[in-house]
Amino acid sequence: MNKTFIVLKHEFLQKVRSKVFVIMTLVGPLLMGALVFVPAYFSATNTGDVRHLVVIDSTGGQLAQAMVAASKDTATDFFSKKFRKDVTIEAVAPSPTAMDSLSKLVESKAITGYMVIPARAIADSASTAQIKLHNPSDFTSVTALKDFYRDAVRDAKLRVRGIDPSSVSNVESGVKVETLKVEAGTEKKDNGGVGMVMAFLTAFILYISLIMYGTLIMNSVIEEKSTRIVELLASSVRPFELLVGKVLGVASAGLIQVGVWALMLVLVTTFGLSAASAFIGEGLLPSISPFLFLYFILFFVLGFLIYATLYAAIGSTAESASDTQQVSMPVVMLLVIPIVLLQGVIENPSATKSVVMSLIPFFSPILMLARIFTETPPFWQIALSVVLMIGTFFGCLWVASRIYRVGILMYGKKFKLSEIAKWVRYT
Amino acid sequence: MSTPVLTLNAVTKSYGRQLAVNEVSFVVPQGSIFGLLGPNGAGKTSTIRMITGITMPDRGEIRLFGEPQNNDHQNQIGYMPEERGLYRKLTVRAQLEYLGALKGMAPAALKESIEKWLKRFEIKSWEKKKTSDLSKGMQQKVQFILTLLHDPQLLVLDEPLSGLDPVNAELINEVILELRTAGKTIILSTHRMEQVEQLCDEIAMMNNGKIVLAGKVRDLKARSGRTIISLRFSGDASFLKRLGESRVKVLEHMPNEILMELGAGELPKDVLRLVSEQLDVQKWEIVEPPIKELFLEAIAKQPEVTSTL
Repeated sequence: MNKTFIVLKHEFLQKVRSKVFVIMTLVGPLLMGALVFVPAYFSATNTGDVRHLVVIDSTGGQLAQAMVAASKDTATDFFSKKFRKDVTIEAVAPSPTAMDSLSKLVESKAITGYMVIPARAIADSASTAQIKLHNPSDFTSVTALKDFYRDAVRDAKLRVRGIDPSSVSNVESGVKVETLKVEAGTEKKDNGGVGMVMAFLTAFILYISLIMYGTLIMNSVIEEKSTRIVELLASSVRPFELLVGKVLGVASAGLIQVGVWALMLVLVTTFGLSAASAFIGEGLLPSISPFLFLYFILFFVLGFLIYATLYAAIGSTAESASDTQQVSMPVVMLLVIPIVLLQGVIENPSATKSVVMSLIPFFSPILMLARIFTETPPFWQIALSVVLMIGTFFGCLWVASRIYRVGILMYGKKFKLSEIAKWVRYT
Repeated sequence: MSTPVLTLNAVTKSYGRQLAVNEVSFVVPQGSIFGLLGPNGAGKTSTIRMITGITMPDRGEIRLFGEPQNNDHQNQIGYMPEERGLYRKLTVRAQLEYLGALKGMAPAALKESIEKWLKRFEIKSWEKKKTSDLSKGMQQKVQFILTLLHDPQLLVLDEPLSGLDPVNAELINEVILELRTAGKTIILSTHRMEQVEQLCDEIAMMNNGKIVLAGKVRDLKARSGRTIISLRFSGDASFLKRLGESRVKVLEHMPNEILMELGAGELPKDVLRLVSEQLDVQKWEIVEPPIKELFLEAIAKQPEVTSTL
């Protein structure tokens, strides 16, 4: 039997038989779902503290009154409803001592904060209102005050010009826009949100699993090195066979895990979401094409092979995980950069910048996939990125096997990147 | 004469600017116990790593079993590294199965061999335990089984006794001799001279990456031409040192025993007469020079070399 296959089988069975693997495979999607939905649920239902806000209006009180009225208004849309539930606004007449006493109330947390509206707020566009808060990061309070203030000032300015504000809101409400995704001769309702959510979701799944499996393989190399069993292995198998067997073995385990997850997601999106869309509204959550999951698996596998190989090489240079920080930095950066670029690529998937970045093989797993989910790129670009990734994998394998070969036999010190670079040139 | 199991021909290996093995040549005959000796840093482990196929020589040739070295030879070599190690979380059996398979063993033969050695080393009842649950002595036994499992023709043991308790050390010496009787060849790298005296047929001594002395232990001792005397006595032997090193050189001095070398031209009977006047002599024996002495002599003769390129 081929020795690479023996290593592959051993590594695969070791991973698959471990309790952690079984639990993560079954519970992983729940955890990931929790990661996405719990914060969303939390912020959507966070009735927690009601913010007590106060407005001092030096324009004569009309703006403050409008803001108080607006805060009590029963609104229709979701976000304003939420604000109005969480916020109470009270108007206070300006007086020389009003600000001092309000500041004291803020300090003692009797009120959340207050807003000072300058006398020329309506007449002079340059005049600035101030919001004073105990916690300036209190997004809910700041947004509520800003929104209500903006609307109040706008309405007041309209009245000055002799226009009835209600006629304006009438005009505004008549504007409706619908987004449609044009693809392969069909047009379907798509608010863009699903593609974006999927792009983010898959990017983070990839990012987390690449780092997770990379670290797993790195630690397994470190273990073999620190227990010195690697010397025995190297006297039985060529380091290259050992490396390839290891990477493919762990990759197979990873593929099974991610495959199970993907299958669960496909099932949920095909059956579960059709039920959910009955509540949320038709068209908001269309079922996600299983075809996209094939892309996901393809990019996962290729990304995995590239990063697992690099992580294995890093592991071979160290005797403990804590020694790897400096050496693993460049690889971590390769994974962080596409995450940083992700937002821009999702908003503008076909811009030249996005195309170029998504073709860089180290970024492709995350960025090309994000483009596929948002605005499917031309097939040649997907094909090119796959070819480039395969090439990069073999390049990484070549470099990694040369580092690995030397690294596994080197003991006693931490190696600098410059030293490791020299190993690649050793005969 | 049968084909030598191993031939090294002008083998050279360097790591960066460090010349670890410098034009090393020696021949290991089949069925012998071959000692590779030398101080730490002499190049023994570097040489062994090339023999076991872990690293490749920069220059020179290694022949195994009569043919140029290739990957398949790894299956016929049993290697016990100086730095021992096992997978801590694998069971004894899983460990043996994995590494046995990597040595190219077929499942049935592997199973049989595992049974045989677990019984021979009396650790059969521990086969399902994880290595981390084993005592150090048990782990050493597992390590030794890993070396022998695939019935290798050539065993390469790097400091096999280091860290071993006396019981295991005795067991290993016993097995080594058994294996030689069975026609296997054993390369023993060590700096423990008593093990070499006890076991080795042939030796090669390394220092600074070079072979400084090689050959059959018997021949080397006979060829040395040195007169070495082992003396047991009671009394004060300090007068021996006053004779001067040109006449008598004390090699080892224990309270009632002395190992000494006579200078050129000194006759044993003259020295014996001198010694009996001063001491109560209980034993007087002309002995072969210990390997350690041969080694120190060889190093002293080696010209000062730098081991960097």
